[in-house]
Amino acid sequence: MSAGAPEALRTAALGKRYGRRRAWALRDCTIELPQGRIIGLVGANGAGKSTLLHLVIGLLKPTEGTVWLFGEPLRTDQPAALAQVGFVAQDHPLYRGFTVADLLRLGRALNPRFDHAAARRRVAELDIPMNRRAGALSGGQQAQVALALALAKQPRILVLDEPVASLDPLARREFMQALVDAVASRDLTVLLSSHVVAELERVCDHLILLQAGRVRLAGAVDDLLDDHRLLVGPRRDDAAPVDGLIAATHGQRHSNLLVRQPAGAATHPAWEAHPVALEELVVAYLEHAHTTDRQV
Amino acid sequence: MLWLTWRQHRAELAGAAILLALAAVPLILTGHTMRAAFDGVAGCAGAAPGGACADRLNAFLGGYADWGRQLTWVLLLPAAAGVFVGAPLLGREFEHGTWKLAFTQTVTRTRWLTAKLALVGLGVVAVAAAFTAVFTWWRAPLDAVGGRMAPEAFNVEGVNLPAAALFALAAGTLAGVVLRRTVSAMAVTLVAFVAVRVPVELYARPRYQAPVLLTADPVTDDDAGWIGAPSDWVIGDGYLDGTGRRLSEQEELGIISEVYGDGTSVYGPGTAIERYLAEHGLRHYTEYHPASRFWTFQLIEAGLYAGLAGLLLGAAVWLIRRRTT
Repeated sequence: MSAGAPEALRTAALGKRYGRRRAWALRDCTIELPQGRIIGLVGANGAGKSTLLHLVIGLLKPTEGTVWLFGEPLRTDQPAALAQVGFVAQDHPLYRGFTVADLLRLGRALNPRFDHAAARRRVAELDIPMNRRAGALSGGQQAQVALALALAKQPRILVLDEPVASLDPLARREFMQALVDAVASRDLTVLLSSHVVAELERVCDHLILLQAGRVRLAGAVDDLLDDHRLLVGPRRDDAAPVDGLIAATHGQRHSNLLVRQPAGAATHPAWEAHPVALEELVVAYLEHAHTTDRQV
Repeated sequence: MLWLTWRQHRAELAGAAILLALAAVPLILTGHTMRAAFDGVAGCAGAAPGGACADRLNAFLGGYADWGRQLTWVLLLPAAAGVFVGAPLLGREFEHGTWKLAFTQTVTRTRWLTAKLALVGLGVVAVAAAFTAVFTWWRAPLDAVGGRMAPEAFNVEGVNLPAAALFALAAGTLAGVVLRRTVSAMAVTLVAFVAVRVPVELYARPRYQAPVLLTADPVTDDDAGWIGAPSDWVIGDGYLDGTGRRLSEQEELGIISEVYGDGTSVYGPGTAIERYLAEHGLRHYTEYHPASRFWTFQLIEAGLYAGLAGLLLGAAVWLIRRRTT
């Protein structure tokens, strides 16, 4: 993207509370997502992933804060603004009585830029019968039809909420492959949530980690990996003095410490520094939250 | 939106057409029989009581008035629009999550909601109008004799069915938005419809306008306790004292038991009860709405239902807008 291009998505102090007496589902969420990336949104169940996704596409009204899409405040009362966003909701809801052909016709009827031929082609390539009712399709097929609908709309940003959560491993891989292929062939920003980190690791170049309704970690995957290291050394239970400690796990004789330190930072000679993998990093953050919660 | 709305509701429309056919077939058959019988007595409508002509008319009514009352179930027909069309209209979208699919197409919420509500509302009104046409044709001979003000005619003629159906549709739509569950929304819709429809008929309708009050003197009017033309809608009768106060039912029963004791009560000119009334300065009264008020009453009630429908739909749209952006 050129330097002057606005972010695909920007939020400022975004917050959502479902009812006045309820806890905040999301709070103080300020993020900037560059165009043309595949951004993964991770977090435990109930961390606020769905809430954030619904807020940024206008399916939910924020309690506080603002959302900008491509430099413009989010609008849902203008077709031009709606045309920019494609969405696949969790469990990919479709009108169950509609045939696949009906669903594609729905897409064509409601979206001026709908690429009907491409959607037909995509569905045909996956051997999904056009005359079958959506309710009679397998979960994987439903997800693929939902994706085909969202892509044929030709959005600038595609948002997917747990698209593979309900699918078996094979269908998961097929779905992610379809997504990656689709992104490769066009100028598209993708924001998808998942609690299956392994799926994200393969496709995402950007990551946001939510914890209890707050952004804990956000940035390009490469930068995040550069910033973190795994320190392995003789066992010590009081690891507090180590700078930027995120999580500590202790074996019988060794301790593993995940730390956030600038690349090349000096370490104590007793510690051996290793790079971390994305999944390790995410799991460490999630588990760490878990232990601190328990201590509190 | 036109195609989508048609695609989503064509099954309901087909169901309504089948229901209409199921109702129309027996009505057309019996309607022809009734018309044939009515041809013989048509000239007697409005004839003076007593006399051979009136007897033939009474024979006709004896045979067919019950048929007219068969249509009482139609009182609940508009509820079907609420239960089977209104409750799933948005309730199913929220139950199955398909509102998320709908709201992320290139169509604003306002357009989506207006198009859906307007088209489905139009369909419901059209179906209700078709039912009205069948019922009105069928009832024509009975109406020629008994008028259209009584509930069994009033409920199925004019614009009553479409208006009530529109109200039911709106109630179902709101219930679906609030509950987000089709089946519970259906149940709530049925209860809400009955809770409004029955009081409207029993309590509100007789009060749309002040009834005409007719009094009859027990001595001078030999047709004591007259009720107006058969096509008028009598909503009350009883006794008045000299000051114009209406006697309560208790007092009325007290008079009857005072006059007749435990014996058989006899009414009519010159009977003991009439002599009692004359001696105590009491008069008969009858309250009624003339048949000419039919359209006034129809429009008042239709306005009531349409107003309620507007409020409920407004609430449904407001709720959706509050939830989403």
